[in-house]
Amino acid sequence: MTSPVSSPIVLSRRQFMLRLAGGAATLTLWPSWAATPDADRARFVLVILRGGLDGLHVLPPLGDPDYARIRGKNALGSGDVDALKLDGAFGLHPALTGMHGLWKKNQLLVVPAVASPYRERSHFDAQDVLENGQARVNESADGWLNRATAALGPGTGGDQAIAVGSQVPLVLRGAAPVGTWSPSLLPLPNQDFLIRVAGLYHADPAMADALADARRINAVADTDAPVAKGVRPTIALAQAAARFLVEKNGPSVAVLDVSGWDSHSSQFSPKGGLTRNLGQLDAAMTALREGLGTAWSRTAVLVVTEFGRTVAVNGSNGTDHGTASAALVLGGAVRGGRVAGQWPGLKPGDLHENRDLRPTTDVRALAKGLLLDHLRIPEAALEKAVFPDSRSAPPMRGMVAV
Amino acid sequence: MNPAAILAVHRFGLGPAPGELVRAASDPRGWLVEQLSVQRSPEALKGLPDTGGSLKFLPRVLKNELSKEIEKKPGAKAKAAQQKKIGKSYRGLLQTHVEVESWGRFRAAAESRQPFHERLVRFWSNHFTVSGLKPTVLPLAGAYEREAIRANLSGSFADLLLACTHHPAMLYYLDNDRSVGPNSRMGQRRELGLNENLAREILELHTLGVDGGYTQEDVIAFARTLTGWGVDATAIESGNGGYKFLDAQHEPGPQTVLGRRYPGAGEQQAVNVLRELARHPSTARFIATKLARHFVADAPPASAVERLAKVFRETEGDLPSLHRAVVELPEAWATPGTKFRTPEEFLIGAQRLLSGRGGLTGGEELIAALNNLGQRSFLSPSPAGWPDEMGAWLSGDSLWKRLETISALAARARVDQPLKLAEEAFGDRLAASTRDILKGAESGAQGLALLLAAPEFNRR
Repeated sequence: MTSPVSSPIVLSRRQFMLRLAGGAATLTLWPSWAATPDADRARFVLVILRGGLDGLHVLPPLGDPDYARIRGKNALGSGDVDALKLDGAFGLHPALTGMHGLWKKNQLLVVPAVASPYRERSHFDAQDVLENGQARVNESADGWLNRATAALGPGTGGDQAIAVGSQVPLVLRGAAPVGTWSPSLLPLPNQDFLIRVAGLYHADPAMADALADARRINAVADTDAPVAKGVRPTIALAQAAARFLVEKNGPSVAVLDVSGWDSHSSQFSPKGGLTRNLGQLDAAMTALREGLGTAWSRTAVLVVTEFGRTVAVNGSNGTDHGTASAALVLGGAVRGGRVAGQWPGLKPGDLHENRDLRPTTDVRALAKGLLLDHLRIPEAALEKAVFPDSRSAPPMRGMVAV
Repeated sequence: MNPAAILAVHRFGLGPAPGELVRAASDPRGWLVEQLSVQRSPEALKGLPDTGGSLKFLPRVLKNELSKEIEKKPGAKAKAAQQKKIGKSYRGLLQTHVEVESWGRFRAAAESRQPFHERLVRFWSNHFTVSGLKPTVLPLAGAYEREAIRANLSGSFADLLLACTHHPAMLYYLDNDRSVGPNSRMGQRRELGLNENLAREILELHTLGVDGGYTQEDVIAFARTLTGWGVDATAIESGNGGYKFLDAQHEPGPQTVLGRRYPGAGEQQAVNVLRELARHPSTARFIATKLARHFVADAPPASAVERLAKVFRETEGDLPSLHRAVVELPEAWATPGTKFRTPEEFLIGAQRLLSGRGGLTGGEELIAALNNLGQRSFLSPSPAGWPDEMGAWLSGDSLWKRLETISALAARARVDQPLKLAEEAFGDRLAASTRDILKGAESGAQGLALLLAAPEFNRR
């Protein structure tokens, strides 16, 4: 036997990850000769936090005595960890320092108890309802933001909206042309995924053993491996979105797809995954603001999740799937520095199904309010095409400076 | 949903493509058997070069062509620079060729409506392995599989054995092109000698098996009969290169192999030996064991091996009969999930499952993925081919690499309802616990990743 000769076609692992990531995907950046940033047109950014964000932990109701009672040492402010103060009633998770700064500049509006019409607890179905813009699961194959983009009228020929961080999510699928972009290095399998995979292998000793070996070898402690040059993935997405949004004849709408919020266990640790994710989200919003430059004054960002989490803490020091969660509206165009929507309370009689925060604002009302007042989509189009059958959720007015 | 159909599609096929379970549902065994007869050449393989065309990629041939296009300057330094340039161009062209070949092969499997036939092509291609670890083989591996293997699965094992042994890829791989009979015209002139490699591997790996009952003397005698089986080097540049019997290298005279005397008959001598080897009872048993291992379990049940060996003997190695016997093994239908999918099977399965909603998009990505997963395209580690046991493919490191690939594929695929996809693909084979875990996934992408990581997807 002759000795093996090294093949000319071996790629390194890093090159493999690059190949698989697909870099600039379907959208080419607009030519740089069109260098004058276009500050005038209104920009809208939708941030979808997939997994079910615990609204209580992001926007703690510091003024509600039941909060401290229910969350005990995990209650921000009164418990082990401090909170940033907003007004007398609400605080902000300490990792959200950038957003706290926006609050002080009246560029952050918080809405404490938001939900879609969906009342079950499946991630997929809840995300479907959140994105299809109608009251029921699988009601349409396109999303409300694509229908809204279409209602903006014909664009200048390029994509009018861009999805950053994934293939086109349902909310942006439809007739209006959209582009996609993903960062060029994908994260390694994260801790949350590996825990779930371990569950899959409970009846398969061979695969379970291999997984245990793999985790020991790779000792993944960090949920989010840094991308090139120490830039975290979510921040890279925000930077990319800003780049696309400022280009002359670029898109006016962007969607940031951020996963990792399904905090069933150990969610309260100051060094844990949820805290890190919130820090990265905050840094991403700062990066978005900085990237947009003068266009920030004409930008509104809506941050939503498919459902919230249980009010009570579970046996693994986390929370399970719930109903209402917090939503955030931020941007230079936003009339912020205040809380919108009603606080439902945390007494036993106030809860939804005796376990979740009760919704008092329909997420569609938030979206409609921004599309109407900020993107100037006519109300008739909103009611007929973008959010059909949503009379029960009238647009929340006054969120942006008109 | 018919559990037999689900088993057929996963264990005998390459994992479900859209509509496949419906097609297989009414008569799963029939669906498999009918794939044995209708053989259209897959669309994905059209336009790929034949053996003659592939031989033009041999290192010395292609580099020679490239050097004609380079301006020749005098001096050692200029010459070194020229060589470097030629080398770079050569590598680029070879890389492209391998990517195109790999992608065509992958697509043929991913798109096939005869996935059982594709499995058999791969089984036999692995059995009669040629490896691109040898530079002269790499350009030929694709054409070899198409012309020696794929084209010869409806006849006898003997014909398949002959086709593989005649092919330049095999002759280069196991050094028969340089095996010279000591008493041949060339042997006497140049004191070149015998190379036993091909003869040994045919006995050990292709026919009788290591315990099949041959001796070192048999190896040497057999090797003598094979001298002269070579490649026509002069015709390569014109694109007509291929097998040629080189009488000048052939060892004259009779040889005795496994107790039987073969009179000197030029090329026909080795043909006669090969036909005898194909009929040997050890061959029947060896092939039966490999087939049973491939389709049933790493430690194949003795009853399955017996049954297949019997069919092999009684039909004199008729491949369609043998393949039909595999389908009819009760053992194969009894316990699913005993075999672990190799990286190639895994990627093909994922491609079929995703069918347009994601998956790999080209040769470069495919090669990168196969490299990462440890089953490099056309580069099997030895003449024994890729291993067919779980232990070779499931380890901490290999699973980690598979999970990386899964994360990357899932992140850019478009699957909103992974649970629905899982139910459609696996039916009742989907464990309740897997179903629950898929249901609880926090996003479509994570759900898909979990489905691709699940035991149901990685076993067949």
